[in-house]
Amino acid sequence: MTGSMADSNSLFDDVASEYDAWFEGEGKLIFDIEASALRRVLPRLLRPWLEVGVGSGRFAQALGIEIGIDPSTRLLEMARGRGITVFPVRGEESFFDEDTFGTVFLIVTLCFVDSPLRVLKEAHRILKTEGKVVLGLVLRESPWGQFYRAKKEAGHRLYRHATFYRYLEVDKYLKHAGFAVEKIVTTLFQKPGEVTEIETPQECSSPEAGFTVIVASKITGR
Amino acid sequence: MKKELVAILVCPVCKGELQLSVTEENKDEVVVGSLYCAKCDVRYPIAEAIPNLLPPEQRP
Repeated sequence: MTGSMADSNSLFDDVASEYDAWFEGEGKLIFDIEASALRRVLPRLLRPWLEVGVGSGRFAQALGIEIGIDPSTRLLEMARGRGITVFPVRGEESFFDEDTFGTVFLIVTLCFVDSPLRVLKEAHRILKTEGKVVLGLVLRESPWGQFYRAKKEAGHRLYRHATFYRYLEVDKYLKHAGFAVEKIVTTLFQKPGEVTEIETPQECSSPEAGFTVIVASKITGR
Repeated sequence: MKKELVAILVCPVCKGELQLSVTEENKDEVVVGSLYCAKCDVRYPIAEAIPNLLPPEQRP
C-alpha cells in the first residue's frame, strides 16, 4: 500500500507501526470494505500474483498475494511475517523477468509513486500475455479523495506526498501503458467519519465511491 | 528467498540471468547469499532471506 517516491523509505519507515496498527484499529472496517471489493475481482485472475507497494502485507495476506515489493524495509519485515515473499524496491525498478506474473496489484499505491506511467509500463512488461493489472484507488473526485486531499493541503506527513488522480487520468495512464479497462468495482459509499457498516461492492463506476477497483487487461502486441 | 525465485529474477541493469550463491539456508529458503550477474560483474546480496536487487548506484 505504500508507494515509491524518492524518500519513501524513511517516510513509511518512520510511521510503520502506526500505519500497520490502523488496519486493526480505526481502519479495520474500511479495510474490510476495500478487501471485499478486491475479492470480487479475484476469481479467474491468473497466478502468480505480485503486489507493488505491498506495505505491511495486510491486503496481500487477505487476498492471497504471494509476492510483494515496497521501498519501506520496516513494512516489509511485517509483510514477510505475514508469509509474503518480499523485495525491497520501488515500483519503477525492474528485476523481474518479462512474462512472469499473471496479475499485478497496486492497492492505494498509484497515488504515492513518482511516475504512475513508469510503474504501469513495468507492470505491463512483467505480466504474461493474458495478464491483468488490478488497481485499488481513492479517486480525486470522490468524497474520500477530497478528504485525503484536505489532509495533504494541511501538510499531513504521508498524504502531503500523495497525488490523487481522477478516473480519466488513470484511464489515460492505463492506455499509454498498454492496458484496457475490463471491469470496475466500487465501494465505500459511506462518507469519511461516517463508516459504520460493511458494504456490498457495486459493479459500476461512481464518483461517490471512496474506493474504486479497476481490472485492466494487457493489450497484446505492445 | 526461495531458491526457485531465481527463475523469475533478472539483473536490474542488463536484464540478464542471475546466478544464485548460497552461504546459509534453512529448509525453506536462502537466508544469506547473493545473486550474481556475470555480464555486469555485479553481486546482489541476500541478507535475512531478502535479496537486495537495487542497482549498485542506488544502494545506500
